[in-house]
Amino acid sequence: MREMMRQAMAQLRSQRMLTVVGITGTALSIFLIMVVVMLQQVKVAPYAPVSNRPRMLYAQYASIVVENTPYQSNGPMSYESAKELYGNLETAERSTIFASYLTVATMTVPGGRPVSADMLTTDGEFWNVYDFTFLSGKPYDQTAVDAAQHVAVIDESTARRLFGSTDAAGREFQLNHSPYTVAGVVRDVSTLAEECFAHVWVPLTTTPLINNTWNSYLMGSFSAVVLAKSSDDFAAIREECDRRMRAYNKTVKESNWQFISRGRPYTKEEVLVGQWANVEPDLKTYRRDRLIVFLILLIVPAINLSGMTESRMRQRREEIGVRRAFGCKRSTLLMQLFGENLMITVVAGLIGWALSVGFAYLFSTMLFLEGYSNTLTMPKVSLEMLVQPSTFAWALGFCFVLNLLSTGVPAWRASRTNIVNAINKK
Amino acid sequence: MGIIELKEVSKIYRTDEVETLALENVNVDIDKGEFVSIMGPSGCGKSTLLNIVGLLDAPTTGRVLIDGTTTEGMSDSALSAFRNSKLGFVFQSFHLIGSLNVLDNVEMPLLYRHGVKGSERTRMAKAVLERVGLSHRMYHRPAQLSGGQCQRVAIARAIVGNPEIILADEPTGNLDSRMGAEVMQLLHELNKEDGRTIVMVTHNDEQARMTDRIVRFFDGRQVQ
Repeated sequence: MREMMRQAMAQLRSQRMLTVVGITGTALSIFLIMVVVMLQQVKVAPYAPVSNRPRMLYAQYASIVVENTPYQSNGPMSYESAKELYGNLETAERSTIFASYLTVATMTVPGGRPVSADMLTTDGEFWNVYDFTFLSGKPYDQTAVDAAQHVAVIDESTARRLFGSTDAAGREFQLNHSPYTVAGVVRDVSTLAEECFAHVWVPLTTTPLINNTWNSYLMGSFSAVVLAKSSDDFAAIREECDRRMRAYNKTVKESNWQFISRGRPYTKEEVLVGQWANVEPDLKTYRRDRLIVFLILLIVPAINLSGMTESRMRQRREEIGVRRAFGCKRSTLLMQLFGENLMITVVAGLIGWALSVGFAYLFSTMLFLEGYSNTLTMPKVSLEMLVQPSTFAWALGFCFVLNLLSTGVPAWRASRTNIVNAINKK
Repeated sequence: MGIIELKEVSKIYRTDEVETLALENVNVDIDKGEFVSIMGPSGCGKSTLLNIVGLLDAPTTGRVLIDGTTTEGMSDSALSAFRNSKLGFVFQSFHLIGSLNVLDNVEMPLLYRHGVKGSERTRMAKAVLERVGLSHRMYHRPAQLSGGQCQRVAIARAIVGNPEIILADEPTGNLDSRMGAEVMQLLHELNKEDGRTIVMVTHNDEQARMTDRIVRFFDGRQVQ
């Protein structure tokens, strides 16, 4: 290992031009691919207030069918259906029900200018599932929701716009012409935490959205998120959800509609893959397609880097011959060359990764802006969102694959070189 | 039984168009502790013979036995380990690794020997550098040394693993007479004091006469 490090450093020093070009090429390749990875990772990675994402299962939509007919309906559920299907699950830690989409609300204070804000209606458990950072006050609980209390949690930007301060707990304001009291103020949420993003959150019982139902009160405007004690419990939770669905279907039999699961509730990655509520997400195909894209993104620079590695090997031909003469096995040589190049690749990969984080941070609006979005708010990212162990692992993984692709053939050829010819540089 | 035995060894280099006979039916026995010179005009097969004895190249026909072990059919792994433990090489152009310092160059053969720890490698390398009088240059790069010093480093590298056989291919060919004499003196010390077997290819009659035996080649055939 020490020898590999030393040799890698010696290589960096002795072939400066190749080193600079090689490191730059590798860094740019890793940068490019990491930007692609980050585009997806920010939507599935855990960070406040979605730190529990790896333990979450999502039922954004539900599906109902009329048996033995082609009739079906797919979309958000009514509050009642969401409660029956996903409320108080025995196998889960907890679950929350909230509006499937944001609504635009107008907020005013006496003497102030109206403020337009994205509003999300939620139950009380919402605040236990998501880990918002409260700057003042506290969340509303289920008792307040059941009592339809006009209380609200607002984000710090909205608090500043309305009250000029984040210390706004207890202050009163008008929300769509109804009086509300600020229960708490939370740190701003990125639009990339799309499932819980809003500027103002109010009990779901205080807006007309709860009455917006159709198809015999089964469908409506709500989604559910289930928080598991551990991701190992996902299968058990889905089984319980299926049992719940069968039981609920018996109670709604007279409506002629029957719920079908389509594999719900989904993981966050499945939610991202699922384009339509009436089609079960095909994670396998999605992952395969991504793998193909990544491989293409890696193969192109790997071919270029392979040429440089070959050139480096040619310059080291004599050394390779001498090492072999003194007892270096082919396999040892292969590992040594691979290891040395891996170290250089990892150094370049770290540079590329850091570049991608910097780029994503500086150009977040351009990079993460969605074609279709619930909100007009521009996406913002924090370093916490971008510097994820998973993205770091991806970067290292790509370095390894890139190294394997770019060094594999030249190193293998070098290890097969005739020793005498190598020593004599023939 | 010699420590090096070549039995009816031939070597033919083939290309698509020509076939070149480099060695023809060579039989050589070299005893343990012997200092043997191999002489002959350029292109007569001296270096080919040394490469075959050094297990760097395989004969087209015939057998090579080193210390009683036949090397025919050995795997790359076994052959590498065998070379590492039994043979040390000194080349005309030194072939030191330019990116490594003297100490690292000398340690290199021990990297490929199983069970030698880093501290032990360094201790052994320093000991042989002391012996060849270059301990004060151990952190220098080869480019910072004279030709004679480079060859002494190469000799240190050849003996660090304590091999029984040293194969030297024109070790003084790139040196002036004074440095050449120093290198020859070192090789004789290794032969006399350590009892190492040395096989040296040379064009220098004077140096050859100082060795125990001269084997002469002409056009791939052993003539003496």
